[in-house]
Amino acid sequence: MLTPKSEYRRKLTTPERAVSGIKSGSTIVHGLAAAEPPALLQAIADRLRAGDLTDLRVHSLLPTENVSKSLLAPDLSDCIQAFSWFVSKSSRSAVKVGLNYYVPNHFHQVPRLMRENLDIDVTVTMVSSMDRSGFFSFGTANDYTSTVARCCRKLIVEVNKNQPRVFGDSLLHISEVDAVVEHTSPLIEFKWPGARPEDDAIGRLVAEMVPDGATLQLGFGGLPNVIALKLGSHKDLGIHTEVFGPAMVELIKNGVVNGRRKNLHKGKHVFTVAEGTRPMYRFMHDNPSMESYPVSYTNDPAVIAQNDNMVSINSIIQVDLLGQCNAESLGGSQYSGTGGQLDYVRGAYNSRGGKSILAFYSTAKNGQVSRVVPRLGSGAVITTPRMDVHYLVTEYGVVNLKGRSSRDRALDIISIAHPRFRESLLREAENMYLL
Amino acid sequence: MDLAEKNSGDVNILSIGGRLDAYSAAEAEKKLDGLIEAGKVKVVLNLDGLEYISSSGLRVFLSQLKKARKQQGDIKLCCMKPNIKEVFDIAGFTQLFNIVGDEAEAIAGFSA
Repeated sequence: MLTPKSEYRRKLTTPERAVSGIKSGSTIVHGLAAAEPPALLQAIADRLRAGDLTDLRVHSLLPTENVSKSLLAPDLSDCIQAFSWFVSKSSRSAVKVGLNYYVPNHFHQVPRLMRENLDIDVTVTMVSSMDRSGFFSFGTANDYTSTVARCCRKLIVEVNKNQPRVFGDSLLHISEVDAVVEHTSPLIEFKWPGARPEDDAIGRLVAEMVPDGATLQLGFGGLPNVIALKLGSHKDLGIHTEVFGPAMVELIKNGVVNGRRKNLHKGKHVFTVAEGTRPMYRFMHDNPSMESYPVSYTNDPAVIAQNDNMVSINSIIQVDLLGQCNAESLGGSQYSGTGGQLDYVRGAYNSRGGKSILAFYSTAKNGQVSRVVPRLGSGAVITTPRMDVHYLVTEYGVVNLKGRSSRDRALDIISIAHPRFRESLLREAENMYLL
Repeated sequence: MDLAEKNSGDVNILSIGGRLDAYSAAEAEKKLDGLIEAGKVKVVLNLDGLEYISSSGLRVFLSQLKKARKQQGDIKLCCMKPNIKEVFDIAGFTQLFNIVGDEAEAIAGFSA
């Protein structure tokens, strides 16, 4: 009988050998963000550049530099069909000119969409070191990675001792893996933009809306991170989130977050993907309070709603006077993605005592452009429909749109726009017969 | 899409006009393929008349560039309109191709 160690040794190979069986025309899914496996991606790119492989279909969600330097490099555009399930800096330009195709989705449905709609030949991802029982951990990326790892024809893992070992439903046994490569490299870090003058006001307003004992979801991006830093005086907060980020570590270390009043996973910090700094990844490693689950669970609105006083905090790019929120398109082009925003907007609202908060700066482009607009522009995408919007917050205040008439919500939204734009917005609201 | 071919010594100049999109990319590919497979691997694409290029067109240019370079040739681009240049910039293709202002410069590039 094979022991885990002997099975590991039998499957251990080089990146070049591990990818040598990939055939032209294959569909490949890779691990998300910090779990992108650099050595395997580079080995596949080397084959493409050598003309040994072509016509790959590659699926990414929030691709970062390991993918942009390899499979999504411009010189491989002719031999790859690239698909982005959430657009990032690394795929935005290619999406804009049609060299990379955005796949609209709700994040919680991605595991099912990939399992049912893609015929996946190969999954490549980074995992933690194997434990003595033969288990790796998916580490920073459970999301859809744990699902596609189990519905592909071939699973190749890149073992990186820097990938944290986390708990929850995050384990992968050596018997499930087809090939193992070892490659130690620093994990990708995610850093947010510097503070803006409006941060203090928005952070304070949102912090006042979060009751002690609440369970938090904080979205991806600078503003939710800033808001987390304002929660230092709260008590007994919990985390049930899509993205685990550095600000949450500080709240845990300071005892603000302890998860004691959660209904689900009491005392545990639940997430599906982690994007942060190396100290954060070290904090997560072998920490029994850190539990990751597939995104089909963490982002299921029905699961989210089971925590009382669930507060979701996300950001948007703009809102129109009907209350329709765009969080993903800019200038008519796909800028980011729907991600889990609507999953949490709906889940948090359905929680007993729950709140869904969409926060945004009132202006963009150094105050020259209002983010409150009469109508969304041509090509703009509605991420959160007006029926779902609960609280909107800018540096000028908080409004609750639930149950409000078209007239009232237009007035409410204008009340939190930058004062310089309010008069023109009121005039437009009249022209639209909203008032 | 309009295609017109001429020579300057051993340099083949292909002028492409109109729209190079999903409908016309195959025709452009066939033309370029024919040149390169015939060993005519010094190619200038004069894009003065090109009004629009889609991802299909970009992919054709890139795959043919690789074929030409594999045979020690090249594809040089010239006379690009600003909107076409913008697409190349966004796609990261300006770093892959030799792009010059006019046809004479592109032809001269082969004897440099």
